[in-house]
Amino acid sequence: MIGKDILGLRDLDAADIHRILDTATRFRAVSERAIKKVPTLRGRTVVTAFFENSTRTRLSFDLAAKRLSADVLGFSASTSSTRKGETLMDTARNLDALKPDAVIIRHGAAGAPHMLARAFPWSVINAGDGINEHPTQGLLDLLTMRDHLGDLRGRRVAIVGDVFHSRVARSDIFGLTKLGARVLVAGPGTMCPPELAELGVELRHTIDEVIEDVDVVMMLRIQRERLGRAMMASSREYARFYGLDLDRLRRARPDVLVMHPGPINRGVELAPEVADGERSVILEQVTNGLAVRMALLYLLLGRGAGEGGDA
Amino acid sequence: MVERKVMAAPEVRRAVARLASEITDRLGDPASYALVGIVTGGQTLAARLAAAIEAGEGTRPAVGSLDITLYRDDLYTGLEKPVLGETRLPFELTGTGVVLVDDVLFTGRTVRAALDELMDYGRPRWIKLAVLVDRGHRELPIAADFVGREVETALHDRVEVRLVEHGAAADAVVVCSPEARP
Amino acid sequence: MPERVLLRGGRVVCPASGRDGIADVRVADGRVVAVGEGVEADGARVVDCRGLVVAPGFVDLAAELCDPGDPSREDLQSGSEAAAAGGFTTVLASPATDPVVDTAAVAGDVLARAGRLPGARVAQAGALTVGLAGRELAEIGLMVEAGCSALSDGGRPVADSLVLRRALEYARPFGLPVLLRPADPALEAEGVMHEGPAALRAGLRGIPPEAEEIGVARVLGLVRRTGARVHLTHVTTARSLAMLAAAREEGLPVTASTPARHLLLEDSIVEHSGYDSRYRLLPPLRPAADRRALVEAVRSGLLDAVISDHVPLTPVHKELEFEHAAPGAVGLETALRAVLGALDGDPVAAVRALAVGPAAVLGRRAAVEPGAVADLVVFDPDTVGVVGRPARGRSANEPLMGLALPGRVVATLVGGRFVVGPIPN
Repeated sequence: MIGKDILGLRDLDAADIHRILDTATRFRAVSERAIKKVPTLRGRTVVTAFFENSTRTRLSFDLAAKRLSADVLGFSASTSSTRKGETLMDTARNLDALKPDAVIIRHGAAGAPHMLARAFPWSVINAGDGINEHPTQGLLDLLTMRDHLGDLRGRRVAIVGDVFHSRVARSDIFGLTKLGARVLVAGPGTMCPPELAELGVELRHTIDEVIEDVDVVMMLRIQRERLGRAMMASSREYARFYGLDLDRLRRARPDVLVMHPGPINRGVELAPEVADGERSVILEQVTNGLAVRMALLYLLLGRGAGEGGDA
Repeated sequence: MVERKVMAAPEVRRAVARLASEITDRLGDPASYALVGIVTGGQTLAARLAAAIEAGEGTRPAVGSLDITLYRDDLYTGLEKPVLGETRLPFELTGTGVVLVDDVLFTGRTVRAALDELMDYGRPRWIKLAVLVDRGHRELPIAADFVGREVETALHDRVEVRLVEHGAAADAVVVCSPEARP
Repeated sequence: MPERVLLRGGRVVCPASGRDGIADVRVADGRVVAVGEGVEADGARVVDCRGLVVAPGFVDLAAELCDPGDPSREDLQSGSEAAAAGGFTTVLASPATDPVVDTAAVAGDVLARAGRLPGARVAQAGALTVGLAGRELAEIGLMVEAGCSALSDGGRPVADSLVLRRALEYARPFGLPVLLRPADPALEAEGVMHEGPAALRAGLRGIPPEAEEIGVARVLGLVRRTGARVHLTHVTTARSLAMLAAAREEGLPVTASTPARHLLLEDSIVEHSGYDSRYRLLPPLRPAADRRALVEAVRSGLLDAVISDHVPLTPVHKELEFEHAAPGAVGLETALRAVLGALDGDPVAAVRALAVGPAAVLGRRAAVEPGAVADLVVFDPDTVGVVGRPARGRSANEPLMGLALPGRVVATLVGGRFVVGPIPN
C-alpha cells in the first residue's frame, strides 16, 4: 500500500512496485511530447532538501516536479547549516512554515527521512539516507530491467562492489527480491560481509564468479574518499578483482545488461569501453529516473488534501 | 440505489449509427478528420463510430485516445490516485480536425481537460465534440456538436454506459439514483 | 518525622529472609519493628495492602542524576523523586557529572545535599580515573573517606588495560566495589545499533556483540589477576552470560547486572519505530535470543541485579537523526514494570533483581524483617497499564512509553516515611 511517503523499497510490496513502474511508463510518454509539461500539480509546492551534495538526483527531481507544474523550492542545506547548530528538526519546522506538499530529502543519516515523515503532514520522498536506501534509484533500476527482461521472476542480477555501504544496492536488493529475481553480490570482504545473505542474496567474491551467468550486472560506484578506515587496498587491485572490462564482458551472456547508478569512476569499477558500449543501459536509467520520480510525485501528492470535484 | 434503464442495446446501436451518419453528413471525407476517444468510455465509442463510418463511406477515420487524468482538476480528493491510461494520437495532430468522443457529457470539466491536453500535443485545425449521452448540469460553457441522446437526470444521479467491450452482457445506459424519485 | 505505620495484609516478599506470604508489617522510628500475621496496630496508622506486594525498597546501581552539571536533564531533587516513583529507595549516582565526581570535594558536595531529598536516598559513586578519561587514577581513598559507596567510570570502559589493572589493584584494599561497563571502545565506535540482520535491514552501522564480549573477557581476566571485587553493569549478550557463568564457577569475585529495558525490547524495534532515537542505546538493544538469555539469567540469579540505566537526555540530545542522537534512556520510573513485564509478573524474581541483588553489591542487606531500616516499596504486580511520559524525572527519553506493562508502585517508604504513596507527608 502506497501511503503518504516513499521511504524505502523495504516498505513496499510487489503490487506497489508494479503500480509505480506502470505509472512511470505513462510518464515517459509525457517526456516524449513537444510540450513536456502537464498541469497535474499546479499550485503544489515541492521542496528538495539535499543535505548531501548531489547534482543528478536533484536535477532529476527538480525536472520531474516542474514537468508536473509544481512549484519547486531548492533548499540548499549541505552540511554547513547543521554545523551552524541548526538541527534537522529545526530546519524541517522552517520548511513546514512554507506549507510544502512534499519534501524530497537526501541526508547522510539513515532514518532522517523517516523522522520527518513521522513528525510532519507533508509527503516525504527519500532521495538517499545514509547507507540505508535510495528508493527512487532502486525503482528506476527495476523499471530499466523490466523494460528489457519483462517479468523479473527467476532472472539473475549481480550487484558488484561496496554492497554493504551502498544505499542503491540495498534498495535494489529489497526491490529485486520482492519481484522474484535472484540477486548475487560480489565484492571485497569488507564490503560484502557474509551477513548480507540475511537479505536473501547469494554471496560471491570476485566479478569472475558472477559475470558468466547473469541477466544484469549492476556495477556500484566505489567512493574511496567516503570509505571508512581500512576498507580497501588500492584502485588497481579493486579493478583487477571487481572491475568490469571488455574481456570479462565477452564472457557474459550476449544480452547481458550493464548498469551503474552513476557517476562512473571510469577505469576503476567500469572500463570506459564498457560504460559506453552497446550492453550499457546507463543512460536509459537516467531517463527512467525522471519518469519514476514524476510517477511518485503524482501518486503521493495531495492525498487527503480533499477539495472534491467531479467529471 | 435505484436504477433506471434509459437506453437498451438496440437504442445504443441506433444512437451510434445516427452519430456516425451525422458526423459524415457534416464533416464529409473521413480522411479529413480524426476521432479521439476520451479514456475509457469514449475510447470504445470512438472505435465503434470509426467502424460505422467505415461501413458507410469505405474509409476509416484515424482514431486516437486521450487519457485526461493528468489534466483533471479534481485529483486531490484524498482518494487513491487513478491508474493512468494511455494517450495515443497516431496521426499528425497539427492541422487535423478532431472529433472528441466521450460517453457522457455532464459538467463539462472532462472536456475542458481534454481540450487542454490536445493543445499540448499540437494545434488541431478545429475540435468538435460527440457524446452518446448528454445528461445536463453543465458547469462550464461547453456544448456537444453531436449528441446520441439527451437524458434528464438529477444532479446526484450517476449515469453508467455499459458496453459489451467492457464486460457488460448487453449494451445499456442506466441512470442510478441515490434514492427513489417521488 | 518518621511515621508509625502498619502495612496490613500485603504479600510480603523478602527473598533475603525467605519470607513470601501474607503478613502485616509494622514500622516505627524509621525501622521495621514487626512482621507477621495479626500484628497489632499499637496506635500506628493502618494502610490496607491487600492484593499488593510489600518488599524491600529497590536499589539502583546505574543512574545519571546529572548533578552537578545539567539540571535541564536531571538533578538530585528530580532524580530522587523519579527513583521513589519507581519504587527505588536508594540510587547510586553515576560520577558522570560536570564536574566529574573524581575528587572528595565534589563527592562531599553531592552527599551533603543528598541529606535533604524528597524521595529516594542518593549514594554516590566516585570516579575510578580522573575526568573519566581512563588515564590517571582518581583520589579513590579520599572519595571513600568522603562517603562514596562504589567506584566506577560512569559507564565508560577504561580503554587502556594497564590503567584498568592498576585501578583495580589500587581500589581493592579500599573495599568498595568497582562497577564497570564491559566494552571495547574501538569496536563500538562506528556503530549505532546491534550488528546483525536488523541493522542490515535498517541500513545502520552495527556494533558487534563482540565489543561487549571482549570487554567482559578483559575485565574477568583482570579480576582474576588482581582479586578486585567487580560488578559488571550492562551485560547484554548470551555469550557474555556464558563467560560470567564460567567466572562464577571459578569463584571470581564478580557480579553482574543488565538494564531493565534490555529484558523487554529487541533490536528490530529500531526499524519498526521509524528510527525513533529513544531506542538509540549503549549497549544497543539485542536480538530475541540474547534477550531471552538475559531474562533466564535474571530468573536463575546468574545476573545479580537489574539496573535502571537511567540516562536523562533532552530534545537537544535526542531530537536528532538516529545515528546523531546521544545514546541513553531514562528508566528509574519504569524499571519495575520492565522487569515484571519480562518475567511474566513474577514479583519474587523482580524483588531479588531490583532490591536484594543490587543492595548486596553495595554490601547491604535489603530485607523486610524486624530491625531493618524501613526502606520499603508497596506495589501492585498485576494491573497492566500503558507507560506514559515520565512523571517525576525531567527528561522524556523513555523507550517504554506506549507499551502496556504490569506493575504499579503504590507506595515507597524511605526510613519509614512515605515519599510516594497513599498518605502524603
